Amino acid sequence: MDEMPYEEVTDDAYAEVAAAFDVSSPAPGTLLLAGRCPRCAAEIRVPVIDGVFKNAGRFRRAPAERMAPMICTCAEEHPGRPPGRIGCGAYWLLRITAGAR
Amino acid sequence: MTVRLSPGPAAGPHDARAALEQFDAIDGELERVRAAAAAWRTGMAGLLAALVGFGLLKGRTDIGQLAAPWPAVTGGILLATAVTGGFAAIWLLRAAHGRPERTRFDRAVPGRIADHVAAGLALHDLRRGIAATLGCATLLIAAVATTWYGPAKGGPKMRVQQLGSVLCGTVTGLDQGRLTLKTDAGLVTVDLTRALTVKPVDNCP
Repeated sequence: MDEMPYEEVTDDAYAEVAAAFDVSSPAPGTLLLAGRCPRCAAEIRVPVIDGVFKNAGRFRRAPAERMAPMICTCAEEHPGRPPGRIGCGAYWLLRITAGAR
Repeated sequence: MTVRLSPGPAAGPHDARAALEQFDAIDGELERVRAAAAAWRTGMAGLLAALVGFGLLKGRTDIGQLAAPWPAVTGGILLATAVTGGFAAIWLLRAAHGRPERTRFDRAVPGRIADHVAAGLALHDLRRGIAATLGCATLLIAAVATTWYGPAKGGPKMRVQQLGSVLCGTVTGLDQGRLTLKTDAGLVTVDLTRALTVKPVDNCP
């Protein structure tokens, strides 16, 4: 089977597929979204966290609803992938809404 | 807490960049925290070493020469300094090199999230370590200050030099030019008209 080439591309359907990802919270302030990449169909796990140590501004807790930019994070080979990139190139925006149980 | 996912608006190339940057930021986070902690550890150790060196420069070094209750006060401060310094060292070393702990497989979190959690713990240790080191430095300064400037045991003493002898002790009386000193050898009366020098001192040799 031919490998799918790397291409930075988006589609409205990508976010719809990602909205059905499994969500878990392995540690406070972290989310792990797991599912199949809407473009290359590889199993991916995308970490979503409130903030990182970067010494660039003070940390503020994430709001209840936020827009998370996402990319495919698969480790599969995709011809034409530039150095320093990951995945197949698919990207999308996902709305994450946190609420009390 | 429940989390709901829904499709966002149409994404643009800048969203792809932002997502990649976030991903890279998570990837290198633990390394950055460890490097920062190692630098802080070295800096804080240098600060304490400089303070200890400064404390040995001059002044009284024996808290047994202090009047009560200052030996106990200074001893308490020194104990607090040692405890605070010990915690600071543990926290800073733990931040720089990690916690010597195992994690059960069924409680292990996935790779990148695990690194992020470890980075968060290291950052917490680093902050506590910095605060404890500064507290330790403050206590050390207080201990040196009470040792140097605390009141001497037995009050001020007088050193009187005469021809052929030197007397030193606590002044107990002065009458018609005759000074009475309480020395290690007992009470001694000195005729001040025959004294070559009279000098107040903190301690007798």
